[in-house]
Amino acid sequence: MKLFKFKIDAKLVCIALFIFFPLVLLSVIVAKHDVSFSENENRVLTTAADVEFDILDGKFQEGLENYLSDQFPLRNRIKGIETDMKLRWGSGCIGGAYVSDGRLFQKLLDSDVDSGKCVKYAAKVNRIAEQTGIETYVMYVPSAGTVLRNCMPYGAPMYDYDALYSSLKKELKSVHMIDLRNVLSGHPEYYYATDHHWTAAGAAAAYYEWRVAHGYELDNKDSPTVINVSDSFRGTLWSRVPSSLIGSEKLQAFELTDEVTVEADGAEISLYDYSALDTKDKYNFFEGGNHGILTVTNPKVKNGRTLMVLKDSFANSFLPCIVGDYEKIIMVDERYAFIDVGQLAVDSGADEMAVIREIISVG
Amino acid sequence: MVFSSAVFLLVFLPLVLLMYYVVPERVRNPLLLAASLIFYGWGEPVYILIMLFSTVFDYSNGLMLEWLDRKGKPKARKWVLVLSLVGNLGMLGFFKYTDFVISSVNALSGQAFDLLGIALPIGISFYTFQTLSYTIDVYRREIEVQHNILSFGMYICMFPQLIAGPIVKYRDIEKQLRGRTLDTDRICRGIFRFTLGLGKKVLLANNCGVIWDEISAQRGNTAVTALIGACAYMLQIYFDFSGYSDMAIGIGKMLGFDFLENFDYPYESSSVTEFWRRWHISLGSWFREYLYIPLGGNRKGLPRQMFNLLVVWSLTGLWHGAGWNFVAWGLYFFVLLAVEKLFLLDKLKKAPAAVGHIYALLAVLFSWVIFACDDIGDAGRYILSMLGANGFADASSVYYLREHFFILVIGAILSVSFVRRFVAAKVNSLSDERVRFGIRTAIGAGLYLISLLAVIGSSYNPFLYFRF
Repeated sequence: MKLFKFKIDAKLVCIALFIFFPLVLLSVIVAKHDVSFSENENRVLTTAADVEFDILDGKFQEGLENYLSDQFPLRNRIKGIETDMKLRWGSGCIGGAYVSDGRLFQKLLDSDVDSGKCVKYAAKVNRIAEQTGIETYVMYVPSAGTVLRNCMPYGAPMYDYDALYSSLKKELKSVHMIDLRNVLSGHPEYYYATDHHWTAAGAAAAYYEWRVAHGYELDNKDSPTVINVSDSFRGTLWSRVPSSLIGSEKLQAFELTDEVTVEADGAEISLYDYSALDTKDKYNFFEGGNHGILTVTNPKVKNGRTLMVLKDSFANSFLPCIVGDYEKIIMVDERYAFIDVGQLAVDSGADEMAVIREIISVG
Repeated sequence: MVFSSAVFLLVFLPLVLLMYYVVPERVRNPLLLAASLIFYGWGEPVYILIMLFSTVFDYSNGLMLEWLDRKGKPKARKWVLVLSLVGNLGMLGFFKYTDFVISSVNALSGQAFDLLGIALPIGISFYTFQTLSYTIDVYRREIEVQHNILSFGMYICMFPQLIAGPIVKYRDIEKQLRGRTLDTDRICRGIFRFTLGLGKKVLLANNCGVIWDEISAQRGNTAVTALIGACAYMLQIYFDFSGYSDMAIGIGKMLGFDFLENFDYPYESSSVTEFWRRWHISLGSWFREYLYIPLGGNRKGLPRQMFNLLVVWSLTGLWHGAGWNFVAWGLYFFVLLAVEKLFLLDKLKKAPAAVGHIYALLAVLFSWVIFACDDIGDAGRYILSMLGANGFADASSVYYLREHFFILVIGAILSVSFVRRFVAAKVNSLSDERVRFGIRTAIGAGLYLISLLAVIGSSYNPFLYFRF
């Protein structure tokens, strides 16, 4: 007995699928609950409510496109599968990160580095040092790929750290340079495998150089003790290569010895923010992330010394090393605090100034 | 709107097709016109006005030519043609070349006239040539005048080929504007063709583009690295452009149109002359028909032919973009084509086939570098590095070769007809039509899904530093 009276035309089915499959997807996107933030990407996603109805300005068109892509069902899962496939295939570069033996490196080419801006910034620091007469230390942090070439895919291009360093050094005539190239070179354990930052071990190695540069006696103080604070750290580079094939790692910090007061942008915080360990962005464990101006006061230290640090996020995990050396440390992140840092140095009575940041970060 | 976007794939195309298939036949042309205007206005809504102006302007010119014929004033017809040329080319010139002229004048005279910063209406180079083909053919009395402004408007604005061709001559679809047959077989072929084009664009062209962008942004490339970059660009531009034409032709078929082919495996050519018969065919034939032949073609002696070629290729260069590198690119082809016409073509015919292929590929490879670099100095430096000015190879060459070997080889294989012929022969040898259909559908569905995911995936954009 025939179940169907009509013969189903395969071509008709094919056409119907071509039309209705996308429309079904569209309905799913519209019907499902909108996700407003992507932890993996660390960015706000476009939701239906964000799409403005301004056609002449093109905001509607742009908003709709972003909404459809951002709210596409199983978006993260799809990206994960794609990344897994690329890794299995043996890709050496995924989503702007080099991949080698389970380690990720931020891919930074000469064309990605605004060396003009870096030079300008170095000149500004030098000018402040000269005008205020404050003793100044510049400790540039090399990007992992520039000191761990052997751990990267063979021949993978990176910006020329040495050239950039020497052009900046030329500007920085009136400061002490702390060159970290040798000490960080060839030590993969000094950088996270899934994040662009250095590990506590890396920061401790830098602290050794810091002490040498300051002329501290090297044996009067033990190296800071490194502790693991989380076993499930997946950093920003993992977000670019979101694959289950790349495991999580340990987030390290220094054991705190002194009770210090930390104030950031008007509120009291602590050096370590344990609540950040429950989020994706675990590096925010250090001082709860970046702040425009952060002040650390150590009541145990009575040397009357105040240090002002011009920094990026590399300094966040380094800070606990040096809190025992100063009565007061003022950290300024110029990406968030738009102030005259030279004036601040004078007003705060700083007797030492330091630049602690990745060499390519500016502004 | 571009074809490879979520809005087009998930909203625009399925909705337009659905409506197109359910409405009565007489409503289809107006529906397509409306859809095309939305498609065109998506990026820059104001420019719909230019589109509408073009439509009304050339529609009126057609009517005027007809009216003058009826009135028995054939001499005045020439003025209508002049009006149309001035109007259409004037608009193209204003939007596309004003800033180019100003900056060239500034560079030559040391003046500093302000640039106007006019945003180029998308597709203006394509539809200007389409409208001109209409008026010129009406002037030549080769086609009948279109009285239905909606049908005419639909011809000018038709969204499938509006942005990147093929340049459809009015006479080629005159009949189709009046009535088209829609059958499931043709629609399915259209869908398959569309998915092939989408795959070419999203999976091949975009990935090759990344390689070129990275390598060309660096100075001091060694020969091997520079060659990898140039080859990647060569594949990118082919798959981008021919993929777009495939999508246009495919959508055309879904709507019942038959557009002429625009690419015929150009990288298989054994001379530059042949390359230009196979690359962007609709543009070459437009220039031949409406410029080269009216100028006298090859019928007025060799010196005049050379002059005609010079004019055609300078303008072909300029048509591709308002910049001196495009002029240089056009002139580069003029020289090669002239040399081929003078003696090289005969020599190539006598030589082993491989010689011609290698020569043509290299000639085209270098031409793309000139095409891709906005600055002639950059193009020169890049070509020098391809020739080994910075050494033969270094560690990064090994990296690029290892990293991109697969996509470059796949691209190279798919840019020639061998695989298609092989697969087509295998599939066609199957006697069961259902199996053949099944294989095509599986290929098409696979390409469509992967491409869609790639389009969505390209929005995945991790923000490395902290959220501001």
